[in-house]
Amino acid sequence: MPPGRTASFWFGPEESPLFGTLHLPEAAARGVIVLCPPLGREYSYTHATFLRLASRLAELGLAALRFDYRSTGDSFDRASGESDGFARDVRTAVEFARTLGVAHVGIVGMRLGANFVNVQASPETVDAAVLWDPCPTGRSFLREQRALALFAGVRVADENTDALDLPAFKVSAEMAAEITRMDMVAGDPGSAETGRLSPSVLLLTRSERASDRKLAERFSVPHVEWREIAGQPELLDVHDDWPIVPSQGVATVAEWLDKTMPRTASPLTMPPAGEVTVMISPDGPSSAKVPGGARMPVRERTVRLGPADLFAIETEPVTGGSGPVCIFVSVANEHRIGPGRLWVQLSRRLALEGFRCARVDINGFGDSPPRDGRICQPVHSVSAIDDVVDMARALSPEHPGDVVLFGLCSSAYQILEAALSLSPLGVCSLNPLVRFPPPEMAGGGPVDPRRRFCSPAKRSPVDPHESKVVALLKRRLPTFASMLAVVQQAGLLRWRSVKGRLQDGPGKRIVELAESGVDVLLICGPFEIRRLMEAGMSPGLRGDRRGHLHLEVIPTLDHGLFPTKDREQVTQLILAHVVGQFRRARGAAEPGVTLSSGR
Amino acid sequence: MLGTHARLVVDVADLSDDDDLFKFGMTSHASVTVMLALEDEFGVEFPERMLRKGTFESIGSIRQAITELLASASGD
Repeated sequence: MPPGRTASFWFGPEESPLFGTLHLPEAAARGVIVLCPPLGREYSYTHATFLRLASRLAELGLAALRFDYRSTGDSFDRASGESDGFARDVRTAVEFARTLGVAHVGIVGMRLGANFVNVQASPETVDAAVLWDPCPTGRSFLREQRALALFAGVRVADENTDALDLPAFKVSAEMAAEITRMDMVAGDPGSAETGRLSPSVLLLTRSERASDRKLAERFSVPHVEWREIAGQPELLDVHDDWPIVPSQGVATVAEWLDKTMPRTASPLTMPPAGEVTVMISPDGPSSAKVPGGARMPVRERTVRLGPADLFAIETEPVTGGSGPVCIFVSVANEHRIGPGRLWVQLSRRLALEGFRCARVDINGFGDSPPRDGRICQPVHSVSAIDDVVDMARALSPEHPGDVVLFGLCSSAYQILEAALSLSPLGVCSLNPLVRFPPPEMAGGGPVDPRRRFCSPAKRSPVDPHESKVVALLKRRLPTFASMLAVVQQAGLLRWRSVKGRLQDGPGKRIVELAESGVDVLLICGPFEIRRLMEAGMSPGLRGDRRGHLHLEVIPTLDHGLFPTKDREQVTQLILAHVVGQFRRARGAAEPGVTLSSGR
Repeated sequence: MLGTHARLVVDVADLSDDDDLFKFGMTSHASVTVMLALEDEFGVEFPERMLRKGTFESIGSIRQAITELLASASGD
């Protein structure tokens, strides 16, 4: 959530533009710093860090350009067959920065982003370059990410091709080849090492990694300043935890750039408007094939929504959307692209089917400012529910219920809560997280009464969802509580059904939501459906019995949809469901004018 | 090597061959760091079939894996 002025837009090649956000100083700019992010999960982990750095640089009079490589983030997909796509994207970003009217350009790359910076072969040097925690070799990065996936029990595809299935990131054969070629320890010297890139280079490495000492030795040349930096493990090595922005690292990089970049300032040319039209193929890498497979145009634009100024990217057919607005809500502490870019791919794919879509950052995450000014926003804050309501009101002001809401994990929960007040046409709730400790309980307070789909993980003094009888029995009879846990663990569905009647919990409320006429598509893995059963959802409920409830249980579904196969399977289910249920003929009446049958 | 890379909450010298390293603070990321350091030190590469938590869960299992990799590298 950037303080100060920002502008978001697409730039670069017309057929596959890159998405970027420019952070602007208050007055003239001393230069533009191009920020090159890592790849894969590390890209998501570092989004907030790059945003913090960009804001700090703007305060120092340096404009900062955050951007996504093609086939990542909000950029469009690159064509197959490119052997140096990442390096080319860095070059594109630097060239774009030079078009903004400034005389001076600097560059920062973290992890693989630093490796991409190191292989730059632009004819012009940049004024300053920072290599922040680079990967000693690209190959070690790929092996590390692959091993992490396997250690964490994520099902990754067997590698019968040169492509690699990393957690939430499919690396094509060309990408893998490009990354593998990068070797900063034993390979040919890169431009940062030789001085062709910049006369001033800052190398930041970790103290705890043996291979980083080799890097430091290799870069022991006069124009490179080397320092060890703290905070990278807390930022990146966090599979089971939240990434922590490395304040010291951000300050170090900002101060070094402030010292190194020239102090003369010049007015900045404003970047293009935040709108783009691109021809895309429906049979893209993560989307379903449709007959014909021709490329068709979609339009994307950046918008701010509602009183909280939520950041969103709208995607729609160039002729305008004709169905309900599909709203994709950012997941947990990550920004709006969804797991492995699922929200990006679905938005573009549904736009080809005629839908207007928007992917939105909830307040305090991604590029949305926090509602209460707190930088560290709790993921499960009640205000996220207000966000979803505001999104619908802003995107469909005449009929806020004329929307379909999409969420995963925490946002799958938030859309259910918002659905109670919105009565949307539909919700697609993927692996909803209904059992967690609400942040308002941290200070000993009661659960917020707006939470109707939450089964608090830690019992509060006032738990609105637990049956009074069950609560009393548990307090008075510890043996009963133990037996309850044993029975739940044993997976006795009949008991769950009985318990569901005892406990007026989120599972039961989902059924009620569907019975109220909201079309509910629930896609769950085994863990999540067990939680819902425990929370009052009767087993065996199917759409044909309840009309508006469509339950898809996928026995192997990963909670975060990290495996590519999971995302592909979910994509197929959602596309078929949304197109089948909600596609509206152009010119058909909007709901509210004449309601469709069944509502 | 474990002392440097495994981020254990106890001294490695206090652990037996069978102690579960993950119970003593080693994370998935730390175990990958250990793996890469071992590869660097012994000049071997863990094949995909060995990329699982079990391979790195104890000093004994790590020793067994390295022994196996060195044996296959030397053609035994």
